Amino acid sequence: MSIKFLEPSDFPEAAASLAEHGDEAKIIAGGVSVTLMLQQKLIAPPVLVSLGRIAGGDSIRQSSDGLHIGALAKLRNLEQSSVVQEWCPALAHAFRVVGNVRVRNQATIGGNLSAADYAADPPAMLIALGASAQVFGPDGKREVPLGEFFLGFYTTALRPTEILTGIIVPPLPTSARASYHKFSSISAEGRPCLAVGAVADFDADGRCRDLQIAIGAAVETPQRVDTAEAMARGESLTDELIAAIAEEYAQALDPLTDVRGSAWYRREMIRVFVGRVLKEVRDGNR
Amino acid sequence: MQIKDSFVINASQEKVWELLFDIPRLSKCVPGVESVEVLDDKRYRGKLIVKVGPIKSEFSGIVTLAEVIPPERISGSVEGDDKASASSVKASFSGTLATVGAGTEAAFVVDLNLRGRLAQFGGPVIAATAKKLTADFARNLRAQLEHQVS
Repeated sequence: MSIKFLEPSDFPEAAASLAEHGDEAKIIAGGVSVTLMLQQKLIAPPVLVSLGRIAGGDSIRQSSDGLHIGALAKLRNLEQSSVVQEWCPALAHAFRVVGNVRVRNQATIGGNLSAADYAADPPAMLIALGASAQVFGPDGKREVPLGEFFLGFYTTALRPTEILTGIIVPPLPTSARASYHKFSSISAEGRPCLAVGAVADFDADGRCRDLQIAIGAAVETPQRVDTAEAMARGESLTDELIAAIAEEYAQALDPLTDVRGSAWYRREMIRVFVGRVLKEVRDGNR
Repeated sequence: MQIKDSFVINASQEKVWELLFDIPRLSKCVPGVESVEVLDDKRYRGKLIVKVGPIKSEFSGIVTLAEVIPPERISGSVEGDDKASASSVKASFSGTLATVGAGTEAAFVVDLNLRGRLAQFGGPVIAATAKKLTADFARNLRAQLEHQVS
């Protein structure tokens, strides 16, 4: 079987190729998940549309409305980027703990998000930060909050002819702190059993103004629990309150069972790790 | 792994049972059915396309009915494979119909054994796919049965 390999020079051209070949075409960026699926013969697309030659598709830049990350930015470049490290050290950390260095040298943020593998690190941190996906399609550009981007296992809000072109992470108030914790239950593997991203903003008295915690890898799509986040608003994050919020997260979610842990185990770990990220954002370690 | 689910349809138990054995109409209700061929009164050969994210699997196989008790219970087995991904499936199933109020509750239990490269996706993905297919099947059955003039 031979595959037709297209290398469009910009996103409109790439979207046009997708529209032309329909179901027969697949997008390839860093190739981490596509190559695995090709090799295992899980997919056999007659046409591959490579995004590798799109100029500037991997840019990482800061502007007044947020941190702009091109879909083709490699995870390795993101973890090492001084722009990302200064913007939010916890976000750089979430990129640094993905897989191993060989994977991160190849994997792009756009590919990581579009593949929608539930056992992933970046989505939980990005959702806690309120990031949005920038999408290009036949009808032009649109923005999708990352909290609404993941629809199920390996399924996103991208329509068949749409391409993820980048993400925007909104500015973080100087009074806010963020934390990301990955929990791996299998030491020989890079995928998380549980991913917890948290962002909390504090007033001058140290009371919590706002809290976002997103849980990934333990559930089909990353989840926030509004009732638990609301418990923190206007309050000091005492150990008791942190325990209560962690309990609310553990009870509200319906974790899945797989090789990395049972639903029961994951529920226990959600309680532990939500507690840890909250203490970290309270004590300002990051 | 075991998959268990149920749904209620606003149609009489006889009407639902009748549809289950009306192969052309039933095929329209099962999501992803490409073809069904009746081999004899107990065996059917079929082709089913299942999509999970970017992966499209085409299973060909044979359904064998073991027990048929009209209009309330069927059981049997399925054996099939997807050549491209070198995956095979073996399953036993039982389904029951029961009258609840003006409608019919359909319940089923499937014991599924998936082998080959597709199996790496694991239980949660298979369970979520089964749930989605069941919901689509129930919606299609309702469209067939609830809007027709009886």
